[in-house]
Amino acid sequence: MATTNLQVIPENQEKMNPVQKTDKKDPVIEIKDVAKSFGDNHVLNNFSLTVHKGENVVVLGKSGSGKSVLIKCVVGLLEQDKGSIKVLGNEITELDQEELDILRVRIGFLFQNSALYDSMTVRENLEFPMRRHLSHLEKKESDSIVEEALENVGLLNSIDAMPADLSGGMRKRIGLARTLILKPEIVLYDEPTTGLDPITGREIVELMMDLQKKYNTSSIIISHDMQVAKTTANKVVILVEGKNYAEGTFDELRNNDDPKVKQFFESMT
Amino acid sequence: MNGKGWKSFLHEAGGMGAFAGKFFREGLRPRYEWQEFFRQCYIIGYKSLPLVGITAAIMGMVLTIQSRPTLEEFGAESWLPGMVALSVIREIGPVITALICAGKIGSSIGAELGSMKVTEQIDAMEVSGTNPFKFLVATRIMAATLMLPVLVIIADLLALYASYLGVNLKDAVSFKLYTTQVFEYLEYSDFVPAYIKSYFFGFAIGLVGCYKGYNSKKGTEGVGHSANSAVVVASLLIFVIDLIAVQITDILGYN
Repeated sequence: MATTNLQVIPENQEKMNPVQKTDKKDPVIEIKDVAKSFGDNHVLNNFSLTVHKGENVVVLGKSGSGKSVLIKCVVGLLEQDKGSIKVLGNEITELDQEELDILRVRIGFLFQNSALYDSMTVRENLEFPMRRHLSHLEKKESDSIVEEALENVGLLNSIDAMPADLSGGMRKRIGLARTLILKPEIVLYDEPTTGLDPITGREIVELMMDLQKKYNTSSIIISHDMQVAKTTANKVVILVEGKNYAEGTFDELRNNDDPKVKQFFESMT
Repeated sequence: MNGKGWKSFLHEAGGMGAFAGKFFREGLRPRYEWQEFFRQCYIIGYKSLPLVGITAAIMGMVLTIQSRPTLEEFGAESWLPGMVALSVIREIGPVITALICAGKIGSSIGAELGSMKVTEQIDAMEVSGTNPFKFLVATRIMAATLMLPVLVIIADLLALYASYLGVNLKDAVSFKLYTTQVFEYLEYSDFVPAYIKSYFFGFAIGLVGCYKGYNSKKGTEGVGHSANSAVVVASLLIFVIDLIAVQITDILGYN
């Protein structure tokens, strides 16, 4: 396998807003009083959250509680109605399209159903984020990055497969490889284990943790899977009625007596 | 149409107008997605060729065989090549090709983009820093606009060749005589408006397919609806454009 020490520096990196050297305690994501509604449905209601460098924050909530909306606002796919979202020091709503595209190179997003491009092979799926931001690379170099990313998720032999030929777990792994190929500083995971059997789910979580250590990423993990929260979280946030209802370590919240918090942990016992 | 129907129609028309505006505002500006554009030209142009070709050839032959008895009654069989050529070049070639492409390309674009939308592939493209409107929409609209005239020319040629075969079912006419008779009747003013309107047909097919797919909703049901309505709306637009084109050529004295 081709391992590479090539440092991936996306084109136009210098244009990005102040790539401050973040130390361990610096916040990489600051969400303050964010509100988002769809018609009369108030999905987020003055939600606040801070994620520090190297931290894994798991956001727990019932289905339809606005967890996915939250991370889509963070990456600029949706615009909040009110409040502020700062990612790596950049106020998301103040960026123009080009600045947002440049910032997005530093943010990875793993979609719930992996969102692999059906019409492209696995190799082309992984090359896709690179074609814009690493187009200066020689073919040999980009091949080597793709192969390294696939080897990281143990699927180098699927490089020429089409997404339709892959199992759910394999698609999730490829999705993870594509998400991390530009070595983002922040990774947003949308229900990483949904639709997978418990064993494959555990493998994906282990893989996420391995890659988190390898690339030193910070992450927000959206889930309703308590095993994911237990394994991955430095901090757990419980989203109820659009608000940050409770926040703490997994053990702190598990021992919390509040009935709404307890509901989430009862399923584990 | 009741009040709700009108509201929905105006909403749809406004949405499509805004989508077309976005295409001219954003889609035609750099950065250009050349690789995807050429891939779409191949899919829309080359892959539609067999269907368009077979249909055009059959239309040419059927038109010839059906016109013959009427012309025979008036002893005007020698007009057959010219009459068929005029019908094919001015109307049947562009309109039939456009309708076939509305069915094949419009539905395919609507379903593909619709499926990409509901499976979050378009969002994935956006978060990877690629403008999905430029990559998916602009390339498909441009490819459809530029490929349709090419398909129309090929369809016209095949229809005329099939018409030549149709003439020879009962008569023995040489290819040279047939083409001489065809070009005796045809003028530039027959080719040019037909050729120009086929660009508009292509644009309408690409625009409607992309608009319906890009704005697809409600899961797999929405994808089916996008594909279906892309064909219906594009087909209707083709007739509306044809009607406008014939009025313009009439005003300019080309009819």
